[in-house]
Amino acid sequence: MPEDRTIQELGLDEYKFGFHDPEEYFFKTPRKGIDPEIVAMISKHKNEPEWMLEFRLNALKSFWEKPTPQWGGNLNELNFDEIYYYIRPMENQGRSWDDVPEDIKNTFERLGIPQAERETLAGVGAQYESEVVYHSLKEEWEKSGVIFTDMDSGLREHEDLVREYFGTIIPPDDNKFAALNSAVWSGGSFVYVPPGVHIDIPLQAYFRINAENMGQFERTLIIADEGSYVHYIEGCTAPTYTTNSLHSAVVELIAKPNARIRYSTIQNWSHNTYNLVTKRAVAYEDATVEWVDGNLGSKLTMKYPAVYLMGEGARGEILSVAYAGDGQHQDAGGKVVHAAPNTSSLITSKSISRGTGRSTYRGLLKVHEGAEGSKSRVECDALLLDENARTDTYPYIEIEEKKVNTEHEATVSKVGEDQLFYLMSRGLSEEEAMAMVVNGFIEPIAKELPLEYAIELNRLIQLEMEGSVG
Amino acid sequence: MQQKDVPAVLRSKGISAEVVEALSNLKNEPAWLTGKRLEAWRTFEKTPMPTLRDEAWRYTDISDVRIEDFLPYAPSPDVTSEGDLPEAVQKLINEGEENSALLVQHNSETAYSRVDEELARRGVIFTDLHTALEEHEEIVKEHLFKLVPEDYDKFAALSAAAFSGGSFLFVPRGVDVEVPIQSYRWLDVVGSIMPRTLVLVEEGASVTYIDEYASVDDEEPAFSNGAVELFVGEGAQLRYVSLQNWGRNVMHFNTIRSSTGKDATINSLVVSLGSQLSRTNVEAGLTASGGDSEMLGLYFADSNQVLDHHTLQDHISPNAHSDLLYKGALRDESLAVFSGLIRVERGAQKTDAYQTNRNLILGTDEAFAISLPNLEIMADDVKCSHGSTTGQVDEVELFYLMSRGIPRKEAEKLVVFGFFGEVTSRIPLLGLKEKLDRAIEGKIGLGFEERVA
Repeated sequence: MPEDRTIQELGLDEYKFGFHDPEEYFFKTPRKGIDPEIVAMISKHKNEPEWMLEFRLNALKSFWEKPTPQWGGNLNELNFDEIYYYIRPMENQGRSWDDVPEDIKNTFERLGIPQAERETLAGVGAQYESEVVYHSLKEEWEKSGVIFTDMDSGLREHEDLVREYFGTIIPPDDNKFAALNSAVWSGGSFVYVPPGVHIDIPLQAYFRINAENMGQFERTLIIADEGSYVHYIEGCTAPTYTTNSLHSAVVELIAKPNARIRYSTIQNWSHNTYNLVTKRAVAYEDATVEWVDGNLGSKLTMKYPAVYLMGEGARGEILSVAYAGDGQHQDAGGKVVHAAPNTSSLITSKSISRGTGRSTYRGLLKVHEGAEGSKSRVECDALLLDENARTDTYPYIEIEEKKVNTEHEATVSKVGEDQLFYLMSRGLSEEEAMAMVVNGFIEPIAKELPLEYAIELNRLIQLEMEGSVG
Repeated sequence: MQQKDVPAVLRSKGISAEVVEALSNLKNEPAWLTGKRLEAWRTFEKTPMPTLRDEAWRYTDISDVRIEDFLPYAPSPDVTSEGDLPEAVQKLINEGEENSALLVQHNSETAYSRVDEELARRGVIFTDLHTALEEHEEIVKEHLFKLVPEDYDKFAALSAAAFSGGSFLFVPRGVDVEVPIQSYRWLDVVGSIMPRTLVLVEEGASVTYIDEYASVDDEEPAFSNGAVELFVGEGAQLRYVSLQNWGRNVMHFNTIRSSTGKDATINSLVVSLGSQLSRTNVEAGLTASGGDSEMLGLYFADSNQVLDHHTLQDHISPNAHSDLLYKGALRDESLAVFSGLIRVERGAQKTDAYQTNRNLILGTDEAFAISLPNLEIMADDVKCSHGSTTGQVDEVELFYLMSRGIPRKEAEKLVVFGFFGEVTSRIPLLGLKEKLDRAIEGKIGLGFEERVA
């Protein structure tokens, strides 16, 4: 393991005198593996304040100290030395469309995504820009004081605000992958919504121009000030292609009193990717946080969006949908901590396992002493489409308070013969009938998504299910 | 046996290979068993003591359980009639279910046993394990340690190495034992008790067996470590009850595992009321098609008790059914842990498995209820569901009862009885039910609001 070195030793203290020529300090070619030098170079390249460099270097230490989790999915094949921790956007764009695997191209084709957008999603082109739309929205947001920018710019332009909240919800030593992200993060979004402001149109990282969008280690921080509302949409339903095998993001949400944040993700990483993401929110008095979390892609996903209900009357909701096809393991779920009286939460999980796929619901419901009058409900439904498919449910429930009401329920089933028979008697093929039943199964979650996403989600699951009926 | 007849090494604290060997010699055991015990002892020594870092122990702190502090063996006087048993034991017997065979283990030894002539004539065998080893060695050898092997966990290793007393029940093919068979484990010294139970119910036979644990309350900690192996043959039926009501000085560890033949039925009930700390693993192996396992649990934790139940419904074969219901009440500063797993193995199609855990927290914010209802499903044509709830006594129910003129304390009592009724109403044993009702009433005591306020 490389030795930890101080800022001075790395010659980075000169940073405070200004940054002359980034190229000079940066690697001519990307390098695999991680050490303080790489971390320092990332920080230097981004022209970051010194506290952020220290934050990164401390996080790196935590990353080395923390053991790789032995629970959840199988991480034995994940080799941290074989990963590029920072690739400049330029280099990223150096790949060509021809390098993109056929199956990904086909899916783009069938989803009807325009070529320019396809290239962005596949990481081979410049970002899809819809400047006109973006500019008019941006003007409107700026008028009301909304900040919506990439995390790197956020740090440059709103340093005090970032410094106050960054890493406070998910400290770098929270877990091994949060530590890794904290050390090498790049890109992601920074959002601040001033008191009382309601943003009607969902914010999408998609709209941002000239920013790193879906990086390997993006970092998002959303602060909804008192009484405000924002819906943030991360990523998109089309497959995200990457040659790198690890995606490890950190997302922190802060909902001040009476604020409401909704955060929607449909993850569709290519099937070679480990998707290990830490997402956590705090909700103060009467605030609401909702996670809508869809997992379709990746080889292994381990992601458990969390809500800490810190103020009286706060509410948390987690909607999780997972689809595990051949060779995939979706280890997803949710975590709710009731730390204040009269808080409420609802976790709904729907998973589908097909072929040799495995989907796991892993959740924690914790009610601290003093959180009286809290109500919580956890509901997990699993659908198995093949005899080799697997589903697990691991709901941890820890109750320290008597005046509570908690419920957990889970069911596992296969697609009913009678349902199929009925649909087929109406002229549908078995495959279509099956897809329809599955879409019906995830409908409670799909309906929480903006229309275009819901349609894409349904279409995508249909695509995934093709050939599922022998 | 007299204390003076016990070899010196068994009369001093702690367990070692020497103790294990002396114990095996004392019991005149065949060489294979001595070897097996010593092997288990080595496994025990190799296995680290579980800590909160182990997933299966993450809520139950046993760091102050020091096995080296306990006497490995305590003899008891031989008794020729029930009237000579300690009065407390006689009381337990009288208050218990009517029985057709009886065995009393007093500390490490069997003090008394009896089998109704009628049963003996029909070929039913009920003795302690040592007698069974002498008289029916082959059949014991074939089954002992098969369901709770030494490498199951640290405590199972200790059981295999140092068990003493215990019981062996054999019900031959087609024999229907109508009146329950009962064993009592009674502890009145500061030391340890390590019974092992082996039950074989042959094809088409049926029997009810009740294992009850009780002791005098003492200041010094005592240690109980058991293993229960239940084999239910094709089309056979076994109702097994474990009633743990130790004094508050006892640390209790027990693993109960069963296997079911084709179309066999097992109904288990695990009751945990006593002890300072109690960890019970209950595992039903649905090893042949058509098997049916009903698993009931009832626990009531008070003061600073820790009651921990880990259950497994292991569906290995297709077309089997299992239904689990564990209900617990908590008061004062107690901790209750329920961790249940339904595992449907590959190929176990047409499985029907249900699991429910409900906790009732009574008048305290210091109690801590943990519920982990888990599922692992590797076959697609199954029906599985589980549910878990935790809450307090429903004010609406109380209000209704009070509006009918029932004082609050009585009303609370009724609600708690109603809560447990869902479990007790499924047990067709009147004597046992009455015993449980009395125990629950004792636990509720003056009413729970009072003590906290």
